[in-house]
Formats: sequence, structure tokens, C-alpha cells
Amino acid sequence: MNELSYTVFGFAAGLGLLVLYAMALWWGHRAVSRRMSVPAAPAANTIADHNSRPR
Amino acid sequence: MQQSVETASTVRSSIGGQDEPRRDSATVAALVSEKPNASGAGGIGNLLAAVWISVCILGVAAALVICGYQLREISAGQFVHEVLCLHVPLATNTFVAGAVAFVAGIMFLWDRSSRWDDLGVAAAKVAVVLCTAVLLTGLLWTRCARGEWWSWTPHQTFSLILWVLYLIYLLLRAIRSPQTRAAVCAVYGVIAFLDVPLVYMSANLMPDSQSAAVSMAGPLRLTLFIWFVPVTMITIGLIVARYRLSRRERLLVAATPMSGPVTTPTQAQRARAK
Repeated sequence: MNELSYTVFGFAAGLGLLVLYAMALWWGHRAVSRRMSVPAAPAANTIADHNSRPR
Repeated sequence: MQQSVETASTVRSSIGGQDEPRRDSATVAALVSEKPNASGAGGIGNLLAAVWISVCILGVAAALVICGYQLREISAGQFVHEVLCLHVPLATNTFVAGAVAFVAGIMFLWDRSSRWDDLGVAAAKVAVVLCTAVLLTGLLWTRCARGEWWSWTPHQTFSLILWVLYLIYLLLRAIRSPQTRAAVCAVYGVIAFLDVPLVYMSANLMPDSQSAAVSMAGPLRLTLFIWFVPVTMITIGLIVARYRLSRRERLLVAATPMSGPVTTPTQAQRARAK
């Protein structure tokens, strides 16, 4: 590799890492937003629920 | 949403042991109260983030154009020193991120707020990313300028130690107990910062240093100062984004409803009371 290649690879490595981490953060925010928008699941149908129903 | 958060917090606090995170109403109310700010759902937050990202991209593009333009002016043997114009701002911002983790650790030990814990983690993670970039750019510069990848100079050694120290910080996040994890990481963040002055002094005061070997004069110095702007803005943006993500994850955990065996008897009792 010549000198210019090392320079280009240096910039690509330094800036590329920052971009990758920024993208990972963006995906993280997106995933959390999706999970927060999901409504809470109803309570499980347990024996206590069954016994409390009117007959 | 707020009601479900409070319900979940009440139920969990009743079954939580000593190692469980405190989800009393005050903690959850504090998390919920900062939700609009932390979730970024508001228009102002998204707008600010979009503007910030745009300015960062424009800054990097402008700095790259200036670097490319300067390649015409500087001699062939100076090309690779352009990498140092990115390497030095990255290293400086690694120190800044380490300092944020240091301050957050001290503040957590002072008032035990989860905000400082989240800020410390965000800063440590960004410090690892920045330090990795510093090591990579330094490796490429050393290989081209000196003909070897790694020469174990004090500067390189202390930089590698700094990287390992913050990697260990992230490994410590695997401690299961939240309270213990936060306290251990706060203390460790304070200790890990002690390596930052060593890196700085080894780069600037020791004879076999990069700054002594390279004269950053003329156009290179100007480029160096130009690169400081976008790199610092990116660092601040990454720390803030990671901090907000941590707060939202904490809110999500606090708001997650418990499963049937805990909540159902209460519902059954209410039905019988009716």
C-alpha cells in the first residue's frame, strides 16, 4: 500500500467506527420505541381467575 | 401508561428482594416524568437530533474536502500526517468521554441516582468506540510513518491500557445486582480515568512521541483545528443518544407488567369484593 492508501484507510476506520456506533444507537432507539408502543399483555388465565368467575 | 407503570412498580416492589432494583413510586414517577424528554417522541427532540446529525455530517464533509484540497499543497511525504488531524481530536474526545464517566461516577457515589449511572455507562461506551478509532488510526499512521505496526512506545502502551480499562468497565456491567453493578462501575470509572493523564503526558512530554516526530505546522495545524469541531459534536451527540437510550430502557423495564401469578390474586380478590 502506498501512503495515500494508509491515509484513506485511516479516515475510513476512524469515521466508520463512529458511523457504525451511531447506527447501532439508532437501531436501539427504534427497537425500544417499538417495544414501548406494544400494549401490555392481559393477565394470565390462572386458577384464581377461574374460581373468581360467576357460575 | 402511567397507571400500568405504577401498578407494575407496586407489584414488583412487593416481591423484590434486596438485590432487586428499587421500583418504588418515586423512582418510577421520576422515570415517567422524564419520558417525553427521554423517549424523543416529542417534535423538539427529533428536530434537535436531526439538526445535530445534519450539522455533524456537514462538518465531517467540510473537513474531508479541506483535507483533500490540502493534499495538493503538502508534499508526498506528509500525506499520512493527515490521519493525525483525525487521530488527535479522537484522542482528545476519548479523554472527554473518560472525564464524563469520572464525574458521573463521583456524582453517583454522592447521591446514588440512576441518572449518573446511565450517564457513566454512556460515556464509557463512547470512550471505548473512540479509543478503538484512536488505536486504529494510530496503527495505520505508525505503519506508514515508521514502517512498523506497533512499537510499544509509552504513548501506544498507555493508550492500549486505556482501551482495556474501559472494556473492563463494560464487562463489569454484567454484574447481576443493579445496585452493586452501579456502585462498582462508579468506583471503577473513577479509577480508570487515572490513566488519561498518563496517555496525555506520554503523548506530549515524552521524547519519543508523535507530536515530537511530526511538525503539525501550517495547513496541517489548520486542518487539525477544523476536525475538532465535528468530532466533538459527534462525541456529545453519541453520549447524549446513549444516555437517552439507557433512560428509555430503564423506563421500559419499570413499566413491564408482571405475569399472572403475582397480579391475578389481587384481581380475584377485587372481583370477590364486588
